[in-house]
Amino acid sequence: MSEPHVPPDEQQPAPPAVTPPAPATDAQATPAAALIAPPSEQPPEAAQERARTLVDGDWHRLHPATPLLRGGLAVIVVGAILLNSLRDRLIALFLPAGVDYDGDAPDAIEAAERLALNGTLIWVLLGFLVVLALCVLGFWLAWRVHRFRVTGDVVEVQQGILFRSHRRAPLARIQGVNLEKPLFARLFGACKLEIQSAGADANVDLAYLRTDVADALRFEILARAAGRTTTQQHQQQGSHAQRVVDDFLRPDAELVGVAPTSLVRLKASTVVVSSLLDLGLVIGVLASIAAVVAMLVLDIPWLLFTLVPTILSIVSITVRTLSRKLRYSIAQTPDGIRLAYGLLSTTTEVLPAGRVFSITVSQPLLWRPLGWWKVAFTRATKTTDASSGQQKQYANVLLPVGTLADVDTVIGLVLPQLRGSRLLHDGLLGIRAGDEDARADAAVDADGSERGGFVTTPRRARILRPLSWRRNGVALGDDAVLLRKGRIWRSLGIVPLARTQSFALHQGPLEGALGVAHLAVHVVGSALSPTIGALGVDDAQATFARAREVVPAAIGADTTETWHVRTAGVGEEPAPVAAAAAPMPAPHAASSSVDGSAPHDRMEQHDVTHDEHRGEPRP
Amino acid sequence: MERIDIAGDWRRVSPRYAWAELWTTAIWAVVIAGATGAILWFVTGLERWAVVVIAVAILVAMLASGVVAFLRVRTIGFAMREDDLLVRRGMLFRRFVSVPYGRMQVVDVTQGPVERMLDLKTLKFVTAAATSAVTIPGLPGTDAEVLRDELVAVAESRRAGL
Repeated sequence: MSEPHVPPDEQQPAPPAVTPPAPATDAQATPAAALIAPPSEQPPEAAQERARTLVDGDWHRLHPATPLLRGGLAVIVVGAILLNSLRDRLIALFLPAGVDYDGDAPDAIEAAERLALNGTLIWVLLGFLVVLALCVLGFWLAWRVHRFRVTGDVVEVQQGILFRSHRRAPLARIQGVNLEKPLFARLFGACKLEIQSAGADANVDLAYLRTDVADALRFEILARAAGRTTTQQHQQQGSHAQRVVDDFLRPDAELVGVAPTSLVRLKASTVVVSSLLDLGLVIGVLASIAAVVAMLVLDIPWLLFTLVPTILSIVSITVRTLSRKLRYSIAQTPDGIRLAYGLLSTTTEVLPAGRVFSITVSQPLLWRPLGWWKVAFTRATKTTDASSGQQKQYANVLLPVGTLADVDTVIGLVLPQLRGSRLLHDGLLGIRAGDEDARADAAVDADGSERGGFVTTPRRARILRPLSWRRNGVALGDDAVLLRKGRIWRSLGIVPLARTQSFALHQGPLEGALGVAHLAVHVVGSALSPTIGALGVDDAQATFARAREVVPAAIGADTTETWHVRTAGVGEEPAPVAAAAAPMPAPHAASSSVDGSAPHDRMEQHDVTHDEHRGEPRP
Repeated sequence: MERIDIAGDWRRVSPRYAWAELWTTAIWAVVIAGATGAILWFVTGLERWAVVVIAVAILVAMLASGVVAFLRVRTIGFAMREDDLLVRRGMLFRRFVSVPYGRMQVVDVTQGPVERMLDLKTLKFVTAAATSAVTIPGLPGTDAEVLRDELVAVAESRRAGL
């Protein structure tokens, strides 16, 4: 049970991540004690206590290794390499004129001797030391001025020496909290907390923080975002010791105490096989084999030069994507959907309710015999990928690979009403659930319990979807709109109605001639909106008309702004019933009850309104 | 030919907006025809009459498309229902967009130089989705401001998150 990630810097007496005014926690949190004492004796409240001191509204600093992790190391390495390769030039620069220095060893020694003799060497060394000291000072200053604070309803980050920046983000607008542990940072016991807001460059990064503090801080932030005023509800169960060990074993370890274990179990073999069954990869491998054969048979050795880089890149891409998918877990927590994944660099995300804007379930061609699917979702923010450092373009994976039952489970987390429904089943597998059946169903199910079936492309327009015209269709439920496409590459788009921004109906001249139209659902966070084409004009208009009734209703009934009310009881005590329960027309009116106030006013009102909601019966 | 159409209490925009479109198109036509002509004249070794013919052809084609604006503007309309704003436009390419009021992020009222000449304004209803693209051009006088205030008032009463 060795712990290679125990940070070396923790041996310093006072971890600067916690500022001095925290004497109460000093005793348990002394890093030396943490190292010496067996982890089982470490009180589980320590991290909580730390987090509480972090969110006391004062300014705090980040992990002391931050400058190193944020590129300081790269600067040192690059500097060393430069110095090493330019050594000869540098020495030659300081040589007295007339000495012919060409870098050979005897000459170099002689040159050094000469330098030492005339006193230049001391100055050179001094200069080097000064540069080094300046670098260290710069890093230290950057670390000193990089501060954050969490107050009642905003999180603020201040940084920069020359170019100062000060970012404030309202907690009520959080789209998710992302905890990344890149492999290198894990060695220092540090991790990166990313508080996501809607927008292209609106995230607040707290990089880097001590891992245990970051875990607890996340709960605090989510609790405040949800409108909870007390942290007591989040007392973690399970021993802290186990979490420390688990941290390396499982990416979702820090949340095990409060959340149930993963709802979906993915075998490593499944993940590996599914990654290898990628069409691009298979084609790449086949092409490589063909190239090798051609090289040997036709005797063209220069082909090797193009082959080797290709194979290398294929392998590296495959390994990278694979390592991201491994050790995947998903669960429902009181604060939202928890996603955890990654082999070496791990990421745990918590998506509060209502932060999934659309879902795409698709089936790559080669997975079809195995019945596997993957589920992606759209969010209103950009996140950075821990393993590659690249920005993912809005789309994120909800389930990397899974069976139909897994897909059902995962979608049930976002849209519980769809779980196990015929609509979802038809959307994934159905080909001809539409047409006459569908219309009959829609007529029968007037109560709106479960609207039957999909309306699909009419026969007259099958030229527009020669293969998939019977599958191509849309179904509008009371909670979500489902867009079904593709006969060969099957896919199903699901948009929660409460998340749609607007609906559009389009028709061009050709579509007019064929008597069809296409329907678009406008959502946040995707460059292209989910659309479905080649729908019969009457069907499209009926769907559009119904959407105009159902969507405002769904928006009005949306309670995700106060998600703790909705999910209270999942893995935690039910929210305490306050005596001062404000009379509300209906629990569902929660989101529309704060009318008459501008967005920023609303944030300030947040605590008040949530206090009112807490008294309501859970919907 | 089966076209989509939605019956409703449609409000039309000012027919004068067609003139705005025509003027804008005319200005662009002159600029593009002139630039194309100049490039052809200096870069390629065409005869002068050929260059003039090409430039005039561009001018005429663009002006002809501008004239269609008179028909197109008649199709632009909007309807305020209880829960949503419905906007239509397009003749050959028809587009109906319905935006629930609660989705309003910002309402813009803009006026370009040509529009200012004709005393028209354009109202833009911005949601969190870039693809919504709801604009109502050709609102005369203070109509745009009145409509904006109306929309803001009704959106405030139905405010919803993202």
